[in-house]
Amino acid sequence: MTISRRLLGLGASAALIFAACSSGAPTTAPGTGGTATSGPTTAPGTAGPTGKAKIVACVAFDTGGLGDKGFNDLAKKGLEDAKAAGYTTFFSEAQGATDYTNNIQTLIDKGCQAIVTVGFLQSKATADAAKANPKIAFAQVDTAWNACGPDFTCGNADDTPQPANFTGLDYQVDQAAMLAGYLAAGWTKSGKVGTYGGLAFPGVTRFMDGLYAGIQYHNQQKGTTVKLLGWDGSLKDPSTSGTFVGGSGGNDTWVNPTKGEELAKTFLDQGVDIVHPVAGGTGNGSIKAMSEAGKWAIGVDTDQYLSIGPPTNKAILTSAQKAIDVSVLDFFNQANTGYLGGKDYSGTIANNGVLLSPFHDYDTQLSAELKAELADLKSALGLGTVKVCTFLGRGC
Amino acid sequence: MTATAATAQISGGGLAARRALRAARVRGVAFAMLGLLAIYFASANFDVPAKFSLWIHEQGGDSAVLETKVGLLWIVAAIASAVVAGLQLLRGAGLRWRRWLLVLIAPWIVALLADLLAGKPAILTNVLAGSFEQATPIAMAAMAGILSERSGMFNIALEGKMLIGAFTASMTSSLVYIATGNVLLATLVGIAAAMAATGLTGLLLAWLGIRHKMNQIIAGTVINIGAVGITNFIFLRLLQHNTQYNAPPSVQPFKLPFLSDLPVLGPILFSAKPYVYVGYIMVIVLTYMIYRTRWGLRLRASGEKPAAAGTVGINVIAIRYRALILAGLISGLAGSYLSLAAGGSFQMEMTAGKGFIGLAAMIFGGWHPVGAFFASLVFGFADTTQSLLSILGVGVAPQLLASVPYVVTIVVVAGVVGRVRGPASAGLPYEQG
Repeated sequence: MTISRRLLGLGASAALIFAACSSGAPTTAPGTGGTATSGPTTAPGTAGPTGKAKIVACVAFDTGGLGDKGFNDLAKKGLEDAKAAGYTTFFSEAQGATDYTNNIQTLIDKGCQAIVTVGFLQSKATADAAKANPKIAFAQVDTAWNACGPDFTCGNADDTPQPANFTGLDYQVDQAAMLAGYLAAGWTKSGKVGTYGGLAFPGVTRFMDGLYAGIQYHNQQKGTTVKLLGWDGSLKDPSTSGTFVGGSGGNDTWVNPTKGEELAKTFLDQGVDIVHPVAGGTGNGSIKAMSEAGKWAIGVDTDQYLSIGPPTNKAILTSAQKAIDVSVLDFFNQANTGYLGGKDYSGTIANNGVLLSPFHDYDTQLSAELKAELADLKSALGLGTVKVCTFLGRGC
Repeated sequence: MTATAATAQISGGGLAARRALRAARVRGVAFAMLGLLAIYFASANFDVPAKFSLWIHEQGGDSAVLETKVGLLWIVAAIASAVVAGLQLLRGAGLRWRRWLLVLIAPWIVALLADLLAGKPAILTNVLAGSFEQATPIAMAAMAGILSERSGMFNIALEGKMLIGAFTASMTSSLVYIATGNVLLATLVGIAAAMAATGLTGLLLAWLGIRHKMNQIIAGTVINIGAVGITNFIFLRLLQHNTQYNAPPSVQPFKLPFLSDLPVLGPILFSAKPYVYVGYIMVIVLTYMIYRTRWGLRLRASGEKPAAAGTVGINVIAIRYRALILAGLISGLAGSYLSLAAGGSFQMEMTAGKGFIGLAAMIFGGWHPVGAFFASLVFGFADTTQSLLSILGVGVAPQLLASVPYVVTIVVVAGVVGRVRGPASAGLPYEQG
């Protein structure tokens, strides 16, 4: 396995060269169109900055890569929107955890003035770069400094004050997932819902927490006994027994649809009829398996009904969505005014930073009653009268 | 005991025999300890119920249920251990213990599974059926590896070829589907295109390794690197924005007539995707070809002692070219499984190391198709078992559970297969005299 890893690494570095090439050239990225949050953008086709000079805006993507139909692609959409708005843009793409530091340095060398890094795993690389380059505004998708280092948690080695040029882009996606969980509990015919993550870190387990809370809330409100498999939120630390793809944190974790398909089939075997995969491209295998079984899935990060496309998307009830693209563009706009950071951004149901996607095919099939209850829950979450954490074993 | 010692002496005696006898006794004691361990586990939680079920005809229908106690399963494991330990101690070095180890493994796995589940009922149909599906691309990669290495060529490039296969299959199949709307035609053309592309890649590897005597590991690595780069590049530039070119009709499971109606076995063995059946056939055909035909003899000769083969008039170069092209075709088929049957579309670097695992299966399986198939199956089984355990929420850390497939593969295969030897001349360039 070590040999294979090393060789894979070699392969990865070659891909990096390709990635570097594509980022160096003036990319003529056409608007992908069809994604939920905004209409199609048109590439301006300007080779250099014309008129008012805007800052150089850059994104360092995580492994799992562009085309993951998930958070990398969402960040890319934010970058494309920035390009359309007149920013000069560059990007780099990680093939493995060892690339993070170099990728960010490449962007710094290109003269980037605002850099967004994508993914929780880039925390250390981003924090180091932010400290070394106090003039550049850094933001990181899927993290929050919370006054204790870029890993959500206090009381460990990286506890330091937040650099004045760092913004954690944090999404309270458990709120959206709670809505999804409520919907799942109302929709399931077998009384069993399943979920799994890629690796056990907060950006992933929040979805699972939310799903659990939503199901519990439905059980409490409606007297149902819907069960969640793969994540026991009643435990103090469910990650020790939750279902995860595992692996190295590279492609075998996030781009392994065979494993996703197998997990979905095992869920089906145990009587689950709705699966919520939180594992990037791996989850696409699960959605396909659920679709073929005539059962359902809940999408993650983006409106996967749109990103996956027919016929597989007929399984997707809805998606628990992060508006990463909007917040990335917002950050660039702020940085353009000279803002460097120092505070975290928190996307919530209330500020539309996280949301439940449209129901598409199921819009007409969902009962008006369930929709009304979802709307009530949404406003209660926004007001804070219902909280996800009250349903969890670890408490608030 | 004295009888075995006597036979050892009669059959040559000496240091080697004494060592073998000592090793046999150590093994015997180890088996006996396993038995004691099983008894300890049995006493630890005897009364915990164990409930396994298998679907009789279809998912969600009736199921066959085995309901017992964890303790009883451990006692069965203990008895099996005791029997093997007794045989080992009585028969000494003469016992073919690796085969008996297989007898031991089955009850141990069942008991361990029940113990870990700790009373949670589990449905095992997909664990077993999924093992075959997970094993299929790995086994096919292993078959491609066997063909190449038996002919005397290393084939590190399997990973890259599978990636090219997955990519070509997805794109071609999508295009044909858009043009004709015919699912079967689209799938077949997609697979054929994948095999053609990887066959050519195999030819490239052969040309580099044979014609230019390039180091075969390097040549394979270059192809792997190139495959990642090219597929990523086209994906990012073309497929990412035109998802309709990356939406092939997916290969559906095919229920074999009559056989799939067999209770319990039908859903496990005969309701799989056609790839799985092709995999079975491939193992049988390759075993026959390599060990029972003139072609196979020549293939093995070029891998073991190419100079001698060349002297008796065998065209070693031609054999190696053909073997590598054939290996390329097979790895293309394996790759197409990933995008057409498993993933539903191509994703960047979606092989995720399966080509290399295939190579490992080849080595574990002793460069024999049947052995490699079972090694792949062990890997597949460990993988699906890990999924089941984690879904049912056993109290084992997920990181630990995720390493189960690798650990099990190493333990079982190393234990059962023992030392293996590859083709003597694999990787050495051949100079035609």
